[in-house]
Amino acid sequence: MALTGEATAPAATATGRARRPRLRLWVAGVVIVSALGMLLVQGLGNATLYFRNADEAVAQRDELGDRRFRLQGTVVGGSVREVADGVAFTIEYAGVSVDVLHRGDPPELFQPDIPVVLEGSFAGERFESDRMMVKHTSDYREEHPDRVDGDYGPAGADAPGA
Amino acid sequence: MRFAGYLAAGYTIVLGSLAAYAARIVAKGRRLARQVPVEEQRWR
Amino acid sequence: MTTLRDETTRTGARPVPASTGTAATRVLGGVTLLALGVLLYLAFVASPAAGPSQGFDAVRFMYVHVPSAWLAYLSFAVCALCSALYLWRRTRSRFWDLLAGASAEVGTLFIALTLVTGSIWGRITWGVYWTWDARLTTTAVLFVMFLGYLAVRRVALDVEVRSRRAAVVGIIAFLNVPIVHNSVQWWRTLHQEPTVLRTDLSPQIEGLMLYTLLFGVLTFTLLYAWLVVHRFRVAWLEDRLEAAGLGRAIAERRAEAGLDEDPAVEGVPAPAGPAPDPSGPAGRTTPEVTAP
Repeated sequence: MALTGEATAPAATATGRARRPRLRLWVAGVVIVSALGMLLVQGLGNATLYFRNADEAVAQRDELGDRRFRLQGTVVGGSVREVADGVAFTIEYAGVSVDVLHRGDPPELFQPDIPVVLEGSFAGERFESDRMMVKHTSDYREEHPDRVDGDYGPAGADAPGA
Repeated sequence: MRFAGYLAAGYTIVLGSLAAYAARIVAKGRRLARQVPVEEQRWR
Repeated sequence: MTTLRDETTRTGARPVPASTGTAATRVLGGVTLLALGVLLYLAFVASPAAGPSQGFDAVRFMYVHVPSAWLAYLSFAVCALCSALYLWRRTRSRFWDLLAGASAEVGTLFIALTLVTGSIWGRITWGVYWTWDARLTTTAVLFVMFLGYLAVRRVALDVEVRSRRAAVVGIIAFLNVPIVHNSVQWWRTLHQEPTVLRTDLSPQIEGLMLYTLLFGVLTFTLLYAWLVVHRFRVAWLEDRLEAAGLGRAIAERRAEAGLDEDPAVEGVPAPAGPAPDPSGPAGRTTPEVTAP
């Protein structure tokens, strides 16, 4: 391509002055387009199906095999116990539950009755994860709800986990 | 206050960047305003 | 850009203090600083911590994270609108092009701050600084797109060609904003769904937390206005210098080429260094020499 040849021509001469902006434009363009491409491939490939809910994962158990994917569900109260290299618990979504072994330290906000997203794969009927993310909800309530009148928000919505 | 370190870091970055950016454009504006005739500076 | 640095002051003896400020922007700046102080008070003293599943005090990140995201959206909307007014022949003027650029630059700063505060907030509540969910990915793409927009504005080309290209890029990049905002509803994300800007019109946040958030949005709006006014005026000055510099560029090139100290080349100071960079310290010293 004629343009490319021009852009890569030596820019040290007096006429090179005029060409340097064009070279810069091409460099900037290539950098930006490749960065965008990387983001799209890296990101949207994962992002459109960011996680599978526990019921979907169980239904697709056979085709998932030992593939890595993200699993979402709510930590079942009372199921959490510490094990040698991590924590074991059960998550549940839409009435379907999955036993989980998570290796590594759970996030600080890990607790029963909250939704979590786990990265890992099935090993038998158990899901083994090595990356856990706590999925917090969109409703913000005060830590001490009795300090306010309670006029705000829909009735029955109280402090989560309180 | 829990997570005070994270909060301090976050707010410092936000206020620091905003202050640095503001200072930069004010300084640049002063420098350039000396070089342009007053009648072309529509705000004066 | 280099011609700007070499531009001499023709009005060096003018007594009026040179700046992009006016009485109005000084008042605006004062009010903005005051609002920032009040916002810090509301965010850290007056407003309560959230419940344990929201990470207690981590909620205090919301009061800068959400306003900077919303104001970034607004900045990019202003950029797209001004770009459209520039592209439309009947309204085409340097004003719209420069305002689009100023708004986009401030918006890019705001979206960067959104990413940084969100990342730290995510480290606390999610347990990770980053994950490739749809909201985070589309926001990163938005940030990169506007970096690209700003790069297009810096390419040394004919002013008209550059401005037209930038306007097209600005409008295309803005199309990503509604995608970013709706990403949490269109796809499954780790990022939460909207708390305030909900389709059911019932904000899921109460009392002082809501008022602090709204005050944060007000504060960032003032901040945006102040920054854009000053950034626009700087862009205007650059534009005037560029226009004035074109006719003198050839003489200056000759001066650079070897007639450095020739007193006959009126008003061209000795270069402070080789090929001064607009942002470099060498470029800065040049105008200071000729200051009153």
